[in-house]
Amino acid sequence: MAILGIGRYVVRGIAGTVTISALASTTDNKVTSVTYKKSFGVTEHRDGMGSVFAVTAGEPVEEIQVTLTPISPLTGQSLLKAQAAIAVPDPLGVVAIAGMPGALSGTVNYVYVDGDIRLSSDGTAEIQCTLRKYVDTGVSGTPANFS
Amino acid sequence: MSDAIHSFGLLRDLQEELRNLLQEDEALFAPPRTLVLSENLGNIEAEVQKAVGALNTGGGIVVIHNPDVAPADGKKPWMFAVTILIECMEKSIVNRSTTGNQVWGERLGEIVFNLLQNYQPTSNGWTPLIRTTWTTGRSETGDLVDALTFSTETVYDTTTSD
Repeated sequence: MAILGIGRYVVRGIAGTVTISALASTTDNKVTSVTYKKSFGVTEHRDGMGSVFAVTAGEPVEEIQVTLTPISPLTGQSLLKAQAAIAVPDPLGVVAIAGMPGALSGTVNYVYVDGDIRLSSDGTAEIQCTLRKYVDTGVSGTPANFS
Repeated sequence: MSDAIHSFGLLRDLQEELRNLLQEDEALFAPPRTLVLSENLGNIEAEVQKAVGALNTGGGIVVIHNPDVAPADGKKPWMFAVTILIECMEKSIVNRSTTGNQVWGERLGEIVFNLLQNYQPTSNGWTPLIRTTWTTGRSETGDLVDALTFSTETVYDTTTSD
């Protein structure tokens, strides 16, 4: 039994994995940060005097911002392969998040909705992706061509 | 006995690649020849003394020290960074004598810098070398020394190894 305030467990680091289909397998990237956000609209219902007497919540939207550094695949690893992985997923491309704690636990498919690539003179390349989870919603894998 | 324990490791491979690169360069290899040595802890001073005499380097010697492992970066613990000290030594009493090669330590430093800055090692995923320090002074043994430090890093994470 732990003494009060001493030797208690805490979650540190990122134990989970990120897999981007056809771009970076679980072992070909290193995750540096994960930010999970669950948001929803709130509707306030007011009486004739303007006082709120009830609130209702809209459908929650679960969103994850993940920052990762791609590394060369183990098989036939090379700088060229590491360079080829500096890319963001296709629109609505599936990104699997697995092995995370708490509200992020389980293996869950998110889809890519936004992202950027960062190269800097003093560090490794980083890719930041904004991912959303849509439950029971059809997701088109072939979005319209707007060009 | 295991072959694995006797083969060169990550750090020694890097050190040897840099030694070969410098030794094979025309500016250092061609007469007046400059000897390029890899540090092997414990006998470097003896090697330097041998080199000055028998190999007729004329007093200019480049020593590639063993790579030093840098502290881990908490944000990216899988990155494995090292610094490598390269000393460009001038035995001035030999070098600046009438039979010396008259190549100054700082000139050796410039040659080493030109060869190694942004050089990308060919194995083990090392990133291009970046110079971090460059100092000039006199060593404990009285030699003139231009000491350059380069840094590089690679991915070293056992969870991704098969």
